[in-house]
Amino acid sequence: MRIALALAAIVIATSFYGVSVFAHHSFAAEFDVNKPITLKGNVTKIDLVNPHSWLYIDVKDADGKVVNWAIEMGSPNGLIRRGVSKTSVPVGTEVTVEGYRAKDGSATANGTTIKLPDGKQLFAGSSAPGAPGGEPNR
Amino acid sequence: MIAIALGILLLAQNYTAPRTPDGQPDLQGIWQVRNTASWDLQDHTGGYKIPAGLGVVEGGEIPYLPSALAQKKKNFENRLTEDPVEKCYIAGVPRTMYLPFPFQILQTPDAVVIASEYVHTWRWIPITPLARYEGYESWLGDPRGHWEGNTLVVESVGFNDQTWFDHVGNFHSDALKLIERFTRTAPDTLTYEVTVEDPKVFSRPWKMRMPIYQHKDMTRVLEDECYLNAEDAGKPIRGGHPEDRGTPAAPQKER
Amino acid sequence: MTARVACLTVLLLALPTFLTSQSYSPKMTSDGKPSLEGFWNNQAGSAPWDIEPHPAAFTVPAGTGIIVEPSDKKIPYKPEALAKRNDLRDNHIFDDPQGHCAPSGIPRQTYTPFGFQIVQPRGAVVILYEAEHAYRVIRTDGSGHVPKNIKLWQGDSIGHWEGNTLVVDSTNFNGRTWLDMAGNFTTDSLHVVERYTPVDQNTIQYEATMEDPTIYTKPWKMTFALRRNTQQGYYILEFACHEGERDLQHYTEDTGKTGK
Repeated sequence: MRIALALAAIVIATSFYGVSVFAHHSFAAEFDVNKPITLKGNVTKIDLVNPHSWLYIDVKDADGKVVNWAIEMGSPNGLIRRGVSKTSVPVGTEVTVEGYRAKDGSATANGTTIKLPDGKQLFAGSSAPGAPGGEPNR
Repeated sequence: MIAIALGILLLAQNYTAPRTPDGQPDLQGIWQVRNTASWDLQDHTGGYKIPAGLGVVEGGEIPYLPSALAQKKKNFENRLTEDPVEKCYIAGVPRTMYLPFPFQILQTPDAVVIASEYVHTWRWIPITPLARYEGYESWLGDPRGHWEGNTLVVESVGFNDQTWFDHVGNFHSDALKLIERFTRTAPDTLTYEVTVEDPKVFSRPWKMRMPIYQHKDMTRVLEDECYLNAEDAGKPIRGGHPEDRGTPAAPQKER
Repeated sequence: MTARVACLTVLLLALPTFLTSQSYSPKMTSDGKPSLEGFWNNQAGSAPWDIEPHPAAFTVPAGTGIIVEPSDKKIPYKPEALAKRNDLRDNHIFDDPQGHCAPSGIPRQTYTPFGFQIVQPRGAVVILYEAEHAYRVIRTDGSGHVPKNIKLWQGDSIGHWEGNTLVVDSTNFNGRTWLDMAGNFTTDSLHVVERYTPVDQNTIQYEATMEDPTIYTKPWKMTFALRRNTQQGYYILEFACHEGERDLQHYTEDTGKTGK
């Protein structure tokens, strides 16, 4: 119940978030627009760091092997101003991530949307366009 | 000779810092320590990459909880690679104030700015009341200042657990709370005192105290862009979560 | 629209700014200087990606850029410098120093998002930028530039007041910074003159004139507005870039090539 409430708070807090996003580096230097990807897994860690926050999720592949993926989001500063902190996303939370793979083939992706099981969108700042997060420049 | 020393001591005790035109004690200028606290806060003889020096800890001992001693030992053993300053990371507080680099203090009636030469570190200390963002953690903490007589008192919380107090691995947790006191005790001297409180690491609050001296030869601090220099020298410092360093990806559903 | 009507329209559109900048009296600091203090956000749009006019590309919004002189809104490069810029843009975008957490340099630091704060003690104007926790101390105490062999990422800035306008002269750059993510590079001969003019309570008009005879055929100019951030309880948050960056480890030999 507590976890559901905590997650609900984040969804509400960020649902009106502006869509202006910014990466300190060029998207194309690292990620491949031709390699979109969908990942479903459980959160192992969230690091609210600059220049990008990172969400780590355990994803089970077709063979049942678990790979830990690193999902890049935007700067956490705007989220911090909205009350998001390192305890906001409990370990084990199931999420579905849509994004773009890193060019180097590692288990790394730039996250466009991160959805909870009920379909609501978790904050997902990223370098990709149309994604909420990062710091809107008013 | 004793009379002269006593005379100097008496003069120092009679010194009152000038005021800015706005009425605050004037701490402005470019300042730098002459001690070796950044390497080791306690009395230490010289060692590998550690210049000798006298300690700055009041009473000499840092009161670690028994449960924290293992981490301190681990830090010391790995200091050449794990000291955040060896990785060119922000040195945190109070270490930024006793790094071997100059910093500049600038003041307005509402705020004090401390700008260090080391990796373009700046601290903005508001003197007027300002609520903190809840849950906010940072390398330099979230300071709030006020004046007590001639002393600038700065209270900070909101630290992450990533910085060390010195190169030999004295450390803290994210429960760190600091109270710094800056007093100009001579024309070219600040007396800097820090009360350290961290119930996850120490059994009681403890203090450090040191003089910081004014530069008279500089109009500005320069730049020490440590990690950029490391990259230039062919020794880039790359951080990252161990799990995402080139892990081959399993086949995934592509849309 | 005839040329005459067009001219008149432009003049009429500029008039309010001109008039307000002449008639607006900003709050003064206690030492009698116009106060620019406070929190500011740039209105430079997609300039961080490309300061010249550019169409939309993946992750990059379209933009008309921020250059106002020359009239084609492009940087007046010498031919060999233009070739270098194109090569950086097409083949070396991973070398953008901002991606390596370098301070952005001037004027890029002004139009990098994340806001900044101006603090005005006597004898200086301090700008504290959220991006990369960079800062500048612009000396207004009459001191000159540091010796020319001191080369700095943020350069060396000295300022003076012309009416309500803060004029900032910057030299001593190290030539390592870029002006955006599109390969517009700089050299250590760069000389920048910025003008910060408060035009109303919540707006500063910002202008930067760029001079570098080694790569530009003539000086050129950019301009955009700065808007005061009036969010209740807002303050600049720490942006510890090098400490938290986890992207550079993924850059490989050919990830710099644009995926157009």
